[in-house]
Amino acid sequence: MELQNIFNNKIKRKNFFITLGVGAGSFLLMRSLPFRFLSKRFSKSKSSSNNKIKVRINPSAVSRKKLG
Amino acid sequence: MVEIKNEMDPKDKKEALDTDYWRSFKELFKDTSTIDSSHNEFGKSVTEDFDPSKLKGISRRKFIALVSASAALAGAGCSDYRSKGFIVPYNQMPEEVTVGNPTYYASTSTSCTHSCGVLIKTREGRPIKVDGNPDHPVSKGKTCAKCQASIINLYDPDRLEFPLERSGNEFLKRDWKVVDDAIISALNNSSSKQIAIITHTVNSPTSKKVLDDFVQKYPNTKIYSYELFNEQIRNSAWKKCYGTDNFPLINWDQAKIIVGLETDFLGIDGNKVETTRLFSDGRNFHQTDNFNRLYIFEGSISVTGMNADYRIKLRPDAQYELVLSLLNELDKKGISIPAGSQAYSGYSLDSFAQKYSVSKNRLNLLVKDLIKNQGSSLVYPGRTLPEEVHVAANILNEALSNTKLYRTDAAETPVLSLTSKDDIARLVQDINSGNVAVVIHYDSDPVYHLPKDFSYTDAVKKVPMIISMVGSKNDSSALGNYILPINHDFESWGDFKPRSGFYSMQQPVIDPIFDTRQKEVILLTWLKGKPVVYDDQIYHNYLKNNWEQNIYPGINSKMNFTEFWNAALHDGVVIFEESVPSLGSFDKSAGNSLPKPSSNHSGFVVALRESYQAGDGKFLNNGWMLELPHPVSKITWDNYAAISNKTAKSLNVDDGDFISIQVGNRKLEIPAFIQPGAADNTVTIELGFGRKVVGIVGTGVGFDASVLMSKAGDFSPWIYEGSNITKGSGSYKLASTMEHHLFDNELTTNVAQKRKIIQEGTVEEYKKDPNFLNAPKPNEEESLYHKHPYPGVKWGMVVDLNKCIGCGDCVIACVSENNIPIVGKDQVLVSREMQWLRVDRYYSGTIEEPTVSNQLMLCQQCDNAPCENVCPVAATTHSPDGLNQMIYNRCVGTRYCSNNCPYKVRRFNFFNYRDHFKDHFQQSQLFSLAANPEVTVRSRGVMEKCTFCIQRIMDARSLAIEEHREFKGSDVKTACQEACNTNAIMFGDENDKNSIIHKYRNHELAYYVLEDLNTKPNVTYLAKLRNTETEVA
Repeated sequence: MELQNIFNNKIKRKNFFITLGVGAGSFLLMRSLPFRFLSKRFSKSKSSSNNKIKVRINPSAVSRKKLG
Repeated sequence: MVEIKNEMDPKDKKEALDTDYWRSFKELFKDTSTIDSSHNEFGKSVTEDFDPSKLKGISRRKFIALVSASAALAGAGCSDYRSKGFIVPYNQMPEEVTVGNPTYYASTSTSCTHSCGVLIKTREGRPIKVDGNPDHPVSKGKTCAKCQASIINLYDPDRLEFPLERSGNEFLKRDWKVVDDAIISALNNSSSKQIAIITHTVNSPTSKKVLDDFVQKYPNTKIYSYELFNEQIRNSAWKKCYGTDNFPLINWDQAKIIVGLETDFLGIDGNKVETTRLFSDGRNFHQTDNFNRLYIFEGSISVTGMNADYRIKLRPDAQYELVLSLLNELDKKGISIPAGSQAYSGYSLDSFAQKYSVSKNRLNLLVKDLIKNQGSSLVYPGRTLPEEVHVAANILNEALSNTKLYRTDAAETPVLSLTSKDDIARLVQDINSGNVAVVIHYDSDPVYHLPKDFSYTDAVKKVPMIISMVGSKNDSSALGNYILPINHDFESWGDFKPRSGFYSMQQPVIDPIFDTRQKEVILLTWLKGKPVVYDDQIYHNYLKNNWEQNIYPGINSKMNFTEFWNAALHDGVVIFEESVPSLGSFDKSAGNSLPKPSSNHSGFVVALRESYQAGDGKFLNNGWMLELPHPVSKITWDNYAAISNKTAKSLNVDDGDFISIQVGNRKLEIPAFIQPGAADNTVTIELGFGRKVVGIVGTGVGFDASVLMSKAGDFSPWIYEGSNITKGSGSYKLASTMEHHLFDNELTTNVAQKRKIIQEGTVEEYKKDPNFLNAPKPNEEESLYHKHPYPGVKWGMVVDLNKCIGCGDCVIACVSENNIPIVGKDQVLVSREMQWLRVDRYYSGTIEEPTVSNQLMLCQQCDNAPCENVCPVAATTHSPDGLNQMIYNRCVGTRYCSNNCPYKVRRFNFFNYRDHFKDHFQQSQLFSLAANPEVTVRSRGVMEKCTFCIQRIMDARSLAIEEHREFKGSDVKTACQEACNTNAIMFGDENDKNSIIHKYRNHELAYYVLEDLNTKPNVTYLAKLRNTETEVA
């Protein structure tokens, strides 16, 4: 009787592979989708030149030790 | 809401005076919520929202679905990984750079008008820390909080990156060439109409030369120079009395009696860096015979008032009567007053004491002190008081021969005098009559700063061409046609001459980060009359030529110019011999024109002060400064109207309730704050807040009290009599830290007294018996704790409470050095500020006349550290040199350590605050440049605390090894120690018998906080001595 129930509730092979396929497909899609374009953080940095800052030392400045 | 007792029973008052220390009214009146909060330091925390019982009904299927969804979302989230970039070696290594080692540059800060010399630490080309230049004759290696915090103005997320031109209601990006073309054309077409340049103080001779050259090219140019707070009244009073232009500098260290009248010379008046150092030199417990005595008469407690030996509350408009009464009293005592007696004859100290409820004993003691210390006492009125008070004080100082305290070896030498208010009024008139073609806001914000009844805002809109040269947008630039972004101090060249005898040099320690130009370069470009090919060396060459031709010949240097120039930039300062203008001689007729004081003190008086945090508004977008607790009220992120308890009672308001202030036809609604020790019917408000156009950090912060200012300024531009105050509608949350991180005491309040957290005495007591304190010394008895051996160096700190003035400069130094995040007002409201250092401010005595004690509180690096035992993952451990170390990567955020810390000095990252606060600007690439690479940036879920600047210790140790010498405790200076203007903080090796730390640990004034817990702290406090006398009733 118990065994019969298990067989009745058993997932069909076809359904199993469909579910697995959709799941894997969704996962890959989610990974590849450029969510970052939607994020607030990205939109802010994109609109500003803050993400291409270059730090250059002024060659005419004269450095020193901490104590003169 | 706490019920505030209006008047204490005299018996209670006596007891309170003797025993109580309290931080707030809630603590004083034993408010149950405050006592509860001391038992539960984390308050309402993130984990309390999690209720496991809600998970009970969840099915297996739902659980699996949730786990899958979480995994999928996590996977998607991880795809947002931001590249941290690549580390690429230099192709051409700059000579001065060693990767991994800091490079230092001497320069000058223009955070305020004093042009202090600074030493800027850079790492791989980016400035990360500002300290004082030890070679600078004024700042002598020290800086103020604003100067240190100015580093994040360089990395301000709202800095302008390129020129903007108005197009309708918006501003559009433009090239410099387009902008220069348009502006030069407008300048050339201005013909006979005025070109107005509105600037702040100009201290730079070469910058002044640029302005002069501009005036020569465009002769219709007029220069207007202003400051929101200035010394104009003091100087004009001096000129009336002595005939010379500027009030002299003072030898504060030689003054034995200092009488401050509505002044905050240890806080915001004058050159704080120098004054606090000299003042604290006179508070040396080794020299008790020369210990100075400070009397302060003021309307609301200031930093100077907190440090007074005798603080007397007095409404600002009564100060004049006080000085006249003192003159009369001195006259009666036989002191020759160099002025006709008609001015003061009707004013006696008796009637003054009675009229303003001032203790007659204290006034008698003051008179006795002034007479006894003739020649070494000083009466110093605040810069906001009217001219007659300054003239009367000059007479008083002259009578007492106190002019000996004025310096004759150095003097202030203004390069460009400030414009009078009449000239500003004339400018507005000229604009209104169409005679002004161009207005240039030269790094200034007159729309925000000038009294509104000048109607400058309405007038300037009529000018055809308005140009603002600013670092970031402000109220004035919003009205302009062009907004031109200018370099930060650290990207600029310059020379400054605030005083005689030296020049302070400024050099760019980093090339401009954005497409900005130095403001002098912009003018030089326009001077050419046509756009020139821009070269970032334009002003460098101009400055160098000016020095070579005009300044260098007068210095009489033995070096050739190139050597001299490089040496000047290296040292950051050029010292030379220069004659100082004479002080002038006292004009006895100066007192003849003294007016009679107003007798009508029936209404409210409104006193406006400069903000400790926002300055004149320049620092309103600076999160470090806004989150620095106010030195007195401990309020962050706001300004407020400070009123007395009695006034609050009469208005029926409590902390945070809005009050409505009306001065003439000018109105302001602002939250009230009940300030112990405030004079009745006096409202004190700090300016610098409530700017309409400001960046994301400062938007909506505070209230603009400058709307109360008037160009007429009947009494003074900053003090208004006869104001009308009523209760407003609604209330407002002020984020104060004064009840945060309270010491836990389950039994009673008054924990400070019973647990001997504050220990103090008087100079008199100390002279009689140096061991009067009788503080318990480190307990060497056996304990359950394992005794740590300290074979080499053992780190310790000493805080001299005689010198600590509670200003908070050390807090900003610590924030800057240790990458401490800004958390925002909402987090401060729930006790989550992250600063590792705090200055605990205790009141004692009565609400009406409290005495203030400050105590710097930081990790005590206990030998028997309660935090170490309870960490389940050994994230906090003990080092062989006596430090309680934090290993951030191990920390799992149980917060047990913080719970077990009796000093409440550990800070927990409830969020990743860099991401959490204000559009996560702290995570931007720009702001990240300010980070110290030697200190780990902590994220959410991690506990942190003071490390005694372990990175500095390791640096110094490496250097000693490299140089094959013994590593000494004196090789290391912590960030707070380096910043402390008064040298109240000392650091070093306790094991070194010759070190000052070893000496002070066993000093008779030394004590340890919560020593009774056997924690064996390594921070030693030297008890404060007050220079008071036993008063005879």
